[in-house]
Amino acid sequence: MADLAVYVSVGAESGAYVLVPESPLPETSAFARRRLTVSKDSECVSFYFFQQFSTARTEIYALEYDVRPYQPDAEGV
Amino acid sequence: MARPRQIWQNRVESDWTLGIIRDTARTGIPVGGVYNAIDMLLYKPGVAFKRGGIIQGTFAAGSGTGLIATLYANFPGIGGQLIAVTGGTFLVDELTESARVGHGVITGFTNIIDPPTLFVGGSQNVVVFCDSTGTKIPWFYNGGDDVQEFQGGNSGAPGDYSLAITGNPTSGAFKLAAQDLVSGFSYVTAAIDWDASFGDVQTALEAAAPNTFVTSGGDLPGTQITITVPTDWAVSVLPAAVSGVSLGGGTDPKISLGPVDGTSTGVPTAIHSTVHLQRLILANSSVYPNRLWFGPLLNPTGGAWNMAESWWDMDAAVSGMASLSNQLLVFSYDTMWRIIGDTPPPGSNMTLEPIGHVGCTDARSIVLLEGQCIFANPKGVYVTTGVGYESLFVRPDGISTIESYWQSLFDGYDPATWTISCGLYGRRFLVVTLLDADDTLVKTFLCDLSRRAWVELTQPRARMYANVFGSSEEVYAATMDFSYLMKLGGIFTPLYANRNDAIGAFGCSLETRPLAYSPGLKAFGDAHLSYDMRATDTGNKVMKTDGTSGNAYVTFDLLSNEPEVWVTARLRFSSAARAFWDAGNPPTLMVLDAPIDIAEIFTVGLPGDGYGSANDAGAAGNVVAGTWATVEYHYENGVIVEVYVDGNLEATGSEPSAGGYGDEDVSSLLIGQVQIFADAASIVYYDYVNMGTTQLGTDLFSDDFSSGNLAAWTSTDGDVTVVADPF
Repeated sequence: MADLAVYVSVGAESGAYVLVPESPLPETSAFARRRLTVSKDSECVSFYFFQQFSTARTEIYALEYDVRPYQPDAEGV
Repeated sequence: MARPRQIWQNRVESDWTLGIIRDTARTGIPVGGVYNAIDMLLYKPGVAFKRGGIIQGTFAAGSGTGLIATLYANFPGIGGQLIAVTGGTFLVDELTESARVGHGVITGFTNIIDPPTLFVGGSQNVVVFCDSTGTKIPWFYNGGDDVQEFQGGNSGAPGDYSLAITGNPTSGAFKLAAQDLVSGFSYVTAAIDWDASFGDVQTALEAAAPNTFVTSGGDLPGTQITITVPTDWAVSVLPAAVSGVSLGGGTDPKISLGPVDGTSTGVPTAIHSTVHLQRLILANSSVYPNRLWFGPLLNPTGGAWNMAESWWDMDAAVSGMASLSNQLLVFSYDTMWRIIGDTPPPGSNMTLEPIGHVGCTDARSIVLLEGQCIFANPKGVYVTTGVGYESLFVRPDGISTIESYWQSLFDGYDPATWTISCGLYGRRFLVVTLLDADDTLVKTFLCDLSRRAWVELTQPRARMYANVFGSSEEVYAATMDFSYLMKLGGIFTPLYANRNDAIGAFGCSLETRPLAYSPGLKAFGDAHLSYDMRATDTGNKVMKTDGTSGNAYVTFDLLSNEPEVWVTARLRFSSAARAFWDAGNPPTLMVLDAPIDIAEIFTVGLPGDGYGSANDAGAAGNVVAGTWATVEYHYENGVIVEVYVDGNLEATGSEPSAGGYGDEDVSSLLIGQVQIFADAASIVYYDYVNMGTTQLGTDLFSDDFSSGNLAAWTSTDGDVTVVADPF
């Protein structure tokens, strides 16, 4: 059974990764684009992809993410 | 007044070709870098992919504890051989995919920490093995006979030398070589019996080199014989593999020649070896760890080693050597020098020049690449041309990658017990393995030398690598896990067939840099991952043409006639098919058709029988049965016809002239078996068929058969199907 675990971590030095709700991503029969729920507030996020088992093919083409700066007053400016 | 709401920005991370970056805070990792990548290859822009397996590459060697040394030796007149030495038992085996040929046993060695050296020159083509202690005479293998010791010894400076026999032989003979040090010529004696008297030895030497040597003493084997060597002459005992005769009976009988005081063997007991200016160079004995010795010109096993004069002492113990075009690189643990000049001592014109205070702590890390030498120590992995050096952990743009990570791995490092080994694949990828004193794998890294970009691998646990260059490049690993060599080339082409390593299943991981790092709090919404992950067959499809009942091919009609085309295709057939064709049943494997006379204007026939008939070069090609080959046609009406196999020009058309077969524009392409002799063995597989107006072009046609059908083609003839890649 092949699957791809996806973790996300917030902060500049990362370290504490948590699984995204959609993890693990299943194997595919062709190129696929799957949504990952991040929903974090931070200055940055890191992603960690982990696959435990052998596969004939595992290719990652792109990681898209949506980000929106907060209003300055949200940080007390 | 309300401030406008910030809108979502969609960003993408899709290039990881800088590899792992650890020499900065995570937030300092530049675009293109990642924090970590294990068993993920990143060198292709736009995709990160899990590597293929590191699999069994050869037949198993004889009994032992893994393999401790290996070398690809291309013997002139014999061909390439993969040589491996077993751990503990020191069997010297020649390994192919399907067989092992034993070539004897090295006795007395403790370990091998220097890559075996191939010496090619004159009649001496030998692989040299050195022991790790600096107390043993090297051994050599000549491409056919059993491995044997550089036994016998030889004279150095003029004077008296003692010829002695040990081991109580009861039969057999030996030969001596008299060498004129001025001219470089050697004169080999006739066979001298095991029980020869000093007079017999005198007679043999006199016949080989008249009025030169004088002998005295008694009768062998009980009594030593003294040979007086004059100025400008030397004498040595020829090893059995060179002389063709040997001592018999007794217990491991040996003949030796050395100073009468018995203090020298006549051959350096070196740890390291290399070849430079057609001389075998040996370095670092237990007595003289900082000394390197220059062997006799062209004749290391039969010529006389001038132990008394032909040496050079460095400022520190020698830890490795490498020969570049006009300089001998010499390493200690913390310094690197070059020796320039072509005449070794005595009477040397050589000069010693320091290159830098960076050294090599393990000769197994030394590899040569197109005029450069790569080497490693606990501080880094470096490259030099002999003028200065650069760290492979610093990219040309100044970005430092994993130097701090590398240095963090060396806690408790002891160069005497740890291993740093390097291998090269495809002149582009460097694999570096670090083992600790227990041979536990600390790390293996892979470097894309074109970018100096690094990733981590979980295998192999290599003690030494063998690099194969040429038409089929490969890198083999001698590991402590298996008695066979493992090959790494498949890591770049992951398939279902190589989804596992030889040692078992493996996964992969990728850890990104912190994304969108900049001052200020941000909201992160959804992300999307574009990926392709398949547990089973990758779906790689190929076209199978089965000639059991006759012709089997596909045709593509071009939309317009083309005066110049390039056709590229991968093809593969079995050795049984090759044997059938070689027996006088040649097929045509590709055809370009012209519009007027439907006869082919160019064909590729079977390998070994030339590519096609009278309308092409007729030069013998060489597609190796049982492997995929990339074949390229180049046709230009009335100008040229060429065939390349795996990038090598194999044939040039003979009639691309007006009125000949080459005097037509191309109207269609036929791929398969055309005009064949039917036979069950006649099966050919094709993949990645491209046709364009330029080399590697696809502007006219392209089919990789991933569709699973032949809809891209105009027509089919015979038994042609698309199947899963069976290889």
